[in-house]
Amino acid sequence: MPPRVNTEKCDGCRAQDETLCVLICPGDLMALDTGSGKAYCRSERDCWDCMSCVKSCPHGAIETRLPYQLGYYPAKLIPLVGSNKISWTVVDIHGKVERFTFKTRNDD
Amino acid sequence: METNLAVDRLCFDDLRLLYPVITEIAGNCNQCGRCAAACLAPLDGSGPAGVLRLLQLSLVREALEERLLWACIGCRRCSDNCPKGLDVQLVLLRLRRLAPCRPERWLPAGLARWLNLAK
Amino acid sequence: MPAGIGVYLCRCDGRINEVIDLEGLRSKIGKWKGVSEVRVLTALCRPGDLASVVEDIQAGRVDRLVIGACSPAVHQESFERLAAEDLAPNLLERCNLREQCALAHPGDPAGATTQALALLKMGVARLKAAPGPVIPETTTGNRRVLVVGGGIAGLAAAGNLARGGVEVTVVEKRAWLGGRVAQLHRYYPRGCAPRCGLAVQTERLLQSGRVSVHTLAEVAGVHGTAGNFQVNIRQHPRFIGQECTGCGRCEAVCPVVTDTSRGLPAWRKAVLSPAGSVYPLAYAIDRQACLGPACGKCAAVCPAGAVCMEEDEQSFSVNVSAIVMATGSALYDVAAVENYGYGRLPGVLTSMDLEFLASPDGPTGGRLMRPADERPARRVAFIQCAGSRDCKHLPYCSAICCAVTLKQTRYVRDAYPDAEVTVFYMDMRVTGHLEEMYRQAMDEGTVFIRGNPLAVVRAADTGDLEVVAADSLSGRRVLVGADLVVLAAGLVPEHIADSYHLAKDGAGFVPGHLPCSPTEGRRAGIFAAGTAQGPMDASGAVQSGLAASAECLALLDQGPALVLPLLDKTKCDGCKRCVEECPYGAITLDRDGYPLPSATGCRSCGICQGGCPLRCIHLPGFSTREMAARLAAPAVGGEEVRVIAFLCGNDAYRALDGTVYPVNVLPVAVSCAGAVNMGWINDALLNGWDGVIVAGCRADECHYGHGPDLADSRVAKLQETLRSVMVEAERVQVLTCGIGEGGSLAAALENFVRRLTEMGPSPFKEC
Repeated sequence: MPPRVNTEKCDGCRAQDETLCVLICPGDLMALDTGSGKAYCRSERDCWDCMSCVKSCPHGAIETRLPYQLGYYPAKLIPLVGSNKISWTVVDIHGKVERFTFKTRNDD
Repeated sequence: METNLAVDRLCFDDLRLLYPVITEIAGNCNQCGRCAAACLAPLDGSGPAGVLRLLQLSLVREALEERLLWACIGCRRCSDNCPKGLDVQLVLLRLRRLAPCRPERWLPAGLARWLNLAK
Repeated sequence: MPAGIGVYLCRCDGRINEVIDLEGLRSKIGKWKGVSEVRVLTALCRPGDLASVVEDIQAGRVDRLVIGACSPAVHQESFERLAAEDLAPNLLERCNLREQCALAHPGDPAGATTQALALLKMGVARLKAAPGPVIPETTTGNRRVLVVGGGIAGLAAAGNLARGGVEVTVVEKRAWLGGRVAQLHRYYPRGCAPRCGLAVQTERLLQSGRVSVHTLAEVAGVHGTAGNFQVNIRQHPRFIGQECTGCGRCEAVCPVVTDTSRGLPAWRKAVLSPAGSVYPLAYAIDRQACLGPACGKCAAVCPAGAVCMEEDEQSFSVNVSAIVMATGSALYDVAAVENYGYGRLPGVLTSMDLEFLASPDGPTGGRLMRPADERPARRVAFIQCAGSRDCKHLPYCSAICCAVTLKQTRYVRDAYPDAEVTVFYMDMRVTGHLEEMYRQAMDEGTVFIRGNPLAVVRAADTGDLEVVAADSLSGRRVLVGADLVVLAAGLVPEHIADSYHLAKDGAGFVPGHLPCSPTEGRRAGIFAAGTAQGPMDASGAVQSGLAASAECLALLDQGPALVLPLLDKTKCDGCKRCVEECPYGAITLDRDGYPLPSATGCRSCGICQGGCPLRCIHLPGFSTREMAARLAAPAVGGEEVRVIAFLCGNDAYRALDGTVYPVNVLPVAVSCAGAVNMGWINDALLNGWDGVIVAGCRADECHYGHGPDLADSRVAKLQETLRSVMVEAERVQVLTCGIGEGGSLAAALENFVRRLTEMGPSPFKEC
């Protein structure tokens, strides 16, 4: 499912021409709408839910929805990125919350 | 005619509780006098600015006795011209609710005497 | 191979060790890896103990230092000198064991000792993760300054700089120097002609030999940052060459007469004269009004052949270290105050119009009369606060209009000693010795009526002007007839383009940051002077010009050693958020597109560090690794609530010193609330901290401008994210406090801990 940008949280990376989500998307699917100054996904069908944009947004303004096979709308998969840890919060369709924290190798 | 004694003893803080809009406006007036120049009521005296001044000095009874309260025709030239955008006319109108009815203040003197209302 | 970390615990003559078990700490810390020395000393602020620390460094036993003693807010000089001479500032960690530990938890020595251990652990962990020494840079700019605006403030600044050996370029958009003051007939306090003062200022400039003056020139663009500005300048053509001797024959034959104001009839020609100005002594052609080569009368009559209609615009650029913005102001367009009839009723003038009228170079040759019908101005009414202090026009007071009017009553009295002069005022604001002008005006029979007039009207029968007002002191309505009505209008600043990134107030002035930095705007290296800052008289303008010139000097000579942010280029992806958020415009881009902080512009606020999404730009000591090590160091997995509090060093941290606050809170000093990176908060939560506090100054008190606003918006978005990951958003809070409000900060921390206890442990604790 395509990434949804929360326009209240998104600040267009201060309206620079390449926002962080634009820079990181491997499929070059994100774009900055110069009119509103916010990012958006310009080709939703091609998104393969890698969630790189979700992890890169400094304000956590992007959310991808899980495909219906995995849980549909009430279900959520949201990362919280630290400097050497990442914690995935999973909410299933019944509202049960689980968290999975992993060490990353992002720090030098 | 009976006078309303409680009203005679009102002070600025009482007004703030009763009609905060009055004290909000009166408290902000810096007495520039434009409303007095604009006022169409054919009265001598300090005009709407004067009434606001009496309120600022907590002379509420004296403010309530001003003839201007009853001579105001609601033209709103005072409010329109106020450099601070204060709604002066509203104050005059609101004060009418508190002003004790003292006909001897606004009836022609002869008529008041004839009605035995003059002091 | 690092020598090791030295941990020095200070007894503070007993004040610390009577609460905290320093000996116990010493034995624990001695066992930590990486710590090569741990000692308890009596008083580190005294030379003896401090010398033993220096000895350890010089002997090579330690190369990183943890000082567990008083607050970093005190004894800065001794420790900073130690760091500068024998270490590097980023390798010194001061742990506040006194004001925020021993003294903050009276009656709980066990708690205080535990907190002290945690603070020291964080300090040691941070130092272990630190890269090598980071030596502060100093650079100097070149010795050139640009002064934008050749009015009296700009002239004062330029003259002062030039006399100080600085090369100055003055750019003035009009054809002559002198600005508004040159247009005045007289100025106060002494009532002299401005030409005199302007001549003094201008001669200082020109005699130095270090100033290049460009009139009819405007700044087209400013690039770069403090210490290294590239400024593009557009030079408009004068159409009259340097051969001009100022004889004035061109003006005499020019057939065009143009309007200059709404209150006066057209009297200027298309060939403009220097009039009250001193430099340059040359005419200029107003090409808009001029009829062009088809007319050619001026060219025909010029004895020097100086008229040149075919001049083109030119451009050039200069490279300077600092810029003084002395762009000045103009009168508010009082035609907007319709009741006063400016531009509609003949005889209604502004104060500036009256200056022209009174001047011998003006439309009437200096005779005070109503230009329309030549009626002598024997009755003059001045209206103060015309379009000022008015919610529909200018809400502010322009400070000088009362004094200006009193000065102008002199013009009237000098022309007609028994004139009827009336001044309608709301408040007479004439301060200091200018009160003398007020007294004199009253003595001479000027009538002062305290009442802001409703309107200026024309009497139907006589055609006289009448001012309709009410005297608030007597309560009487008044109607005053006048030959001239002078409106004392307020000042509005000349427009400064947004591209300068100067912090303007609501009216467009650049007021600076009073009282700390009066002339420095938000953009480092650009200093505002004169009425560009706010309404002021000529004396004030000169003083502010001199102040701005003094501020420039700091950028030209050796500046203080500043701590610049460090950039990890391997992580940076050029999103440029740091460039945008820097309050000082001190970050530009280098050739490869990476951010380059400027040593002369940067003020080490750390706002770039707070905003960087990849955490690749940071002040020394605040790198991702160092902060992650700090946050992972103390044990936070237990039952007890653990809070990490990032406190801004200007206000919040100092406020907490000496208060009593919960022992569960571990304070960390940061340069500004805006310097706190949300990644640190993520790290803290992921490490199991129950709550995070970001405390700083109030939005309008922040020394760095918008730190608190940034902290607020960033945390608000983080709180949104926390809600979506099913974590209580209240676990992260932003608090504001002033330096004297430690009590309420401590109370807020107590509430926070209580709330966290109710909420239960952080959901990340079990992962």
